[in-house]
Amino acid sequence: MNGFPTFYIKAMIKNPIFFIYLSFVLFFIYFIKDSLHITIFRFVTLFFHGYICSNLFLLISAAWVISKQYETFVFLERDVLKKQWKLLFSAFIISSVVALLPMAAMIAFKNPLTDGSFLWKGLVHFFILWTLSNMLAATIGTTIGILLQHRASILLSLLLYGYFLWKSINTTITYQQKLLNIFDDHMQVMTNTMSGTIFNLNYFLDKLFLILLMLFLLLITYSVYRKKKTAYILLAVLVLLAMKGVVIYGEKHVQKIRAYPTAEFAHVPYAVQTYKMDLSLTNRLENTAELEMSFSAAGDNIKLLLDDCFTIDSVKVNDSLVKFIHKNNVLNISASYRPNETKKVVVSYGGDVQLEDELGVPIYYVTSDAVNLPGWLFAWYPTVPEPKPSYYDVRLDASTKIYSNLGIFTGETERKGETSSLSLFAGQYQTLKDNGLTYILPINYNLEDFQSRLDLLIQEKTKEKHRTLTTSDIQFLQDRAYKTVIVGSWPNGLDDEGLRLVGDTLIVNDSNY
Amino acid sequence: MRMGNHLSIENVSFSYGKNVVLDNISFACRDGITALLGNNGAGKTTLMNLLTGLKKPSRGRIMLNGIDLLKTKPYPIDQVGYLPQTFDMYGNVTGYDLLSYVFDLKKIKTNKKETIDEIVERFHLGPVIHQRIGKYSGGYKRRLGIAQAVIGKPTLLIIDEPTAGLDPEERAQFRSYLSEISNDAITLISTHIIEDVELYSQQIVILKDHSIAFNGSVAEMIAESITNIRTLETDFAALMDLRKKVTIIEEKRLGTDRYRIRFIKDKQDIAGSYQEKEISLENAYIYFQNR
Amino acid sequence: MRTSIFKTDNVFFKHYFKIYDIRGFKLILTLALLLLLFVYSVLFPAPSNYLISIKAKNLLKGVDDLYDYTVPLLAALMTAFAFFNDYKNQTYRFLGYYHPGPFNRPMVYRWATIVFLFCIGSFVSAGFYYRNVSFFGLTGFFLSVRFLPNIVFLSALMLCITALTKNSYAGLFVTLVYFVLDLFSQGRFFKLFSMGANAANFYYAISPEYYLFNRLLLCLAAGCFLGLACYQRR
Repeated sequence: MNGFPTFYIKAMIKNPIFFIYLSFVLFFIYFIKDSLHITIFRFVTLFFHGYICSNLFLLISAAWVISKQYETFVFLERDVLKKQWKLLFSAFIISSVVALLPMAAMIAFKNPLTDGSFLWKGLVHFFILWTLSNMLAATIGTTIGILLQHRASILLSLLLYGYFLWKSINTTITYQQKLLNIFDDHMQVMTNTMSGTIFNLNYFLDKLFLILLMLFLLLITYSVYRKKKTAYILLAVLVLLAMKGVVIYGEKHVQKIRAYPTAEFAHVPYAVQTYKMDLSLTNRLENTAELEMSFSAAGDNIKLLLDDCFTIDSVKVNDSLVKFIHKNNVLNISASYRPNETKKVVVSYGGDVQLEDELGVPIYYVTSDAVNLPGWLFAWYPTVPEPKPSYYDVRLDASTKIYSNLGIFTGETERKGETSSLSLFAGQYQTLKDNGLTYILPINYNLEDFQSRLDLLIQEKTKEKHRTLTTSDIQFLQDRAYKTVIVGSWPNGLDDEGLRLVGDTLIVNDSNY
Repeated sequence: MRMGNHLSIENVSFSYGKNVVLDNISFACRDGITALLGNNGAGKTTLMNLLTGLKKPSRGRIMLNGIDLLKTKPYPIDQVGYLPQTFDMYGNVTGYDLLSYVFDLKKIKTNKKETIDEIVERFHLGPVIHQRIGKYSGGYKRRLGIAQAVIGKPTLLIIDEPTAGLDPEERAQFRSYLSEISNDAITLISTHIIEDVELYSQQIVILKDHSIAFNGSVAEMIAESITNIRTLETDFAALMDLRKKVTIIEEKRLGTDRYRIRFIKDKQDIAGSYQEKEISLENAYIYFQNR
Repeated sequence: MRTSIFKTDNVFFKHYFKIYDIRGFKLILTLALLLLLFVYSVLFPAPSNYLISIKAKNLLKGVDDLYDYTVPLLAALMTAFAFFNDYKNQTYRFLGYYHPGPFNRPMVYRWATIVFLFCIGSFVSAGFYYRNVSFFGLTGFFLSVRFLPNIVFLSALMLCITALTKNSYAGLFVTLVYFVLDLFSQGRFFKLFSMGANAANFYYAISPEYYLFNRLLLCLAAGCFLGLACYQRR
């Protein structure tokens, strides 16, 4: 490698601004290092001061260097675009090296309970955010610097960068607004601490949008300084269209949580007696659910709730393939039944589970190391609303430890038991035991604090009217008769209790804390 | 037999809108120093910019060793070294970093460290080469400038106002550098300081009124002008009178109310004037600017 | 303005528009910005329930951000612009040489010109901005005058960093980082040294003493910055 990038790296760092910048970065690391005790993802979200500082440094340095028109360099470096690439490369090197500081802090001061896979995810997520925002700032600085070749380019660059900053800081409602956020999507809206960053389609579309934006800016300079102007303008237009395509595709494929049409199930004459599931959780959910159903009246259509995020491969009733329609979260199976009959319904289905709320916060998800499937709220298996207890026989093959109200699944495990719904959770958890109770809590929770807050929550419940908790449930809670406590995550509006009793398992909503 | 290098500027013209800056300039040079003289605004820097490809002439071509310099894409910076009038640089970069960068830009094939070390030694940059350019004195900056122009042994060196801002000792040293490096290269220097060219130039080109007033050697320049320059010793009153009649190119006070002047000979000779056996290059230059 | 008894100061004023502000371009630009501010303030005033809202500990960022942040930023950028050429080459040395003494008084005068104009402009415009609350009464006076420390502080910070590092971009960088962080942290980051005391409603949400101390501290800090910037080390 010849000396090109080192020269501009030296020009950019051998000045007082760079040392001020480094001092700021170290200061910001110190200022929010306590967030590392929560999770490293919280640190990555809150480190936006550092991103802004770094972006400003690279933007100002790049614009300054490129707007300096030294005669010797004008003679030696005739290709302005090559100079731009050199500067961008230098910016990338500087950005990458300085990134080591916060990354070292993340490794050194992380919560000791952080799993290796989450640590890597956090580091990668940070590096992506850091690099992309820095490169965008450098691209803005060099592009405007090249086009204007005047010191006023710095002001214009700052104005353009300021636009992205403003978009990033304001709460994003539309998908397009979210794409213009150059920092962490959850800066304005806190998410749960268990899931970490989910590298899903949305994530990559989000980053792709920024890359396309940078490409667009570069193509503007190409169209000004190269001969085949029409070709570059056309390419720039294509890139713009691609960006629009990302918006349209993303909007269409973003999975949003929807209310289920539970009214349709008001008087269904059937119930599920047993569930037998052959479940696989990797980055997708694949399940073959065998339902033993009993019928109290006659009918020719079996309706079950199953979320639209799943694609059904086949439905069999008593080992014969049957027709079905899966729409609006309802699975309609064409099968006739008579009173007092039992039938075996086998549904094979699978899908990516990455459901978000209106603000883009992941609500229900399945990844290789994080799962949030509260069974009473999210129809991740065929069910009816407010089901009576059924017998569950679940064989689960997962790449990570799964906590549920039937027990813990590790690797390939089978669990059985009677319960009204099956909920599965996985992520950044810790398992604690106290007085015969098992607590499965996020890694940043302190047991004593949690216990006192839980007591407070239960006391509040005794004073309120309830939709789902019975008097015996309240007594159960007050007596601490549950055996296991799991902290899950669901939107407060969907369940007005903030906690759910499923058999002898108490599931508490992380949103309360 | 070594042919040497050849630069040919052929019918080159340049204008800024309707403002003619260079009008049909033609001359040729070989290895050695060719001095481009002219008053401020004569078009010297413009001609430099045309040679370096930073501006395009409206007419004409520039041939370096048979190759059209301006049509060669990319412009051969490995064959042309350039030192502009204002050699300014990022103040926080060291001299060594700059030379290293220029080495890479010119895609020089020799060993980098050896080449740079040799250049540093040649131009006596050792004490400052690892210091920031922002700390350099004017002399060292100029030496660094010539070092970056010369690195890679280019065929053509274009140097605009080589000794601008240097003290007499530095100027003398700089001239000897120029003389050294011009042995194997065409060195075109643009200046209005006569001492820069007197001792070492093989060829002088004088620009006046956007065209060439003279093109030849120092001896030819003096020979052509000496017959047209007269010398006269006179008093102050006569001097005042003569100032209105002739173009005086030099005045020297000899004593109380006694002056020796040199002036350009007009149709009418001045009584008592005579032709000197020798004149200075400066006198010759002023003659060509004023004839 | 001509209060100095020193000859070189008189020369400075005499040549101000030939050396420091050619044909008054910077002055015209400043006045144009202030005119825009005035027009905006006249067209989009603060709501009449402003005082009631802030007494209820609400943070009216959308109302106060203009004078808490935007106007000081404009003043700081004008300061950067006014002193940019001083540090482009080594012009500051030349200028400093011709104004000997422990303090570079022309530097103070140049800074004060911009800051004074912005202060007057901000004060008058804010008077119209808050006219639905109080139009140039005592309340109106306090509502307008409370923003002045921000202007003084941010422009002094810009000048100080620029002068200490001899680099305009360093001044721009530090000032912008401070500004952005203070703005987006709503005063939580810099606390007593925050410019957002009004937007973040320090007076009611924290305490009047805290608020007054913040205002005083910004003025003191501005004085320190100015001293550091203009002190000529010989």
